[in-house]
Amino acid sequence: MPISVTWALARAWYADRLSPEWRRPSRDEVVALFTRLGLTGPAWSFA
Amino acid sequence: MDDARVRLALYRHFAVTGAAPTRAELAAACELGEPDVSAALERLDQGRAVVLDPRTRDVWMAMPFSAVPTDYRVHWGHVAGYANCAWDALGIAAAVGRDVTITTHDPLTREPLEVRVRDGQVVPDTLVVHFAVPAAHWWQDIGFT
Repeated sequence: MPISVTWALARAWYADRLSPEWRRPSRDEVVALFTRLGLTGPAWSFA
Repeated sequence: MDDARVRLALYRHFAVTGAAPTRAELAAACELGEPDVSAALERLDQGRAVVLDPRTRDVWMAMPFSAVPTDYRVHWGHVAGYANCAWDALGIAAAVGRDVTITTHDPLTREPLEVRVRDGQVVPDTLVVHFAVPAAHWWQDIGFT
């Protein structure tokens, strides 16, 4: 994965980790994030 | 309620010091007893919000931070800590909202690597990150992942 995509994933995954409102994302939210970043295929599937 | 307070105190401690707090430090920060802190950490571990050491039950990971040394040393401001992987090293920059410098090495050649986040940009931007485990299996062995 290009490091630019890893950085985008890191920002989406961790930017709110120090927020009191943080909660674990649902599986659907994770899949939607992966799809938005172009992370598709067997390595990124929970099926 | 205790769980959210303990989680937040844990993360804030990592962000400020680069290291995991002791149970006593968490108890003081949250105005709780140490048994209550231990119980909250166990629930956070069960909920995959943190990872406790399987043997000692001390904090092992508060992703993206690592309580133990790894191959991913991260500096931000005057603070230094460890990340669990390349993704998490960048995750520290995202979590603390700061520029960071990551010191690691090429996993194939062992050549030292320095990666920086400056003003929201990763430098150098030509690197490739390898994810060894498919997403569906990340939690089967989170230490390996």
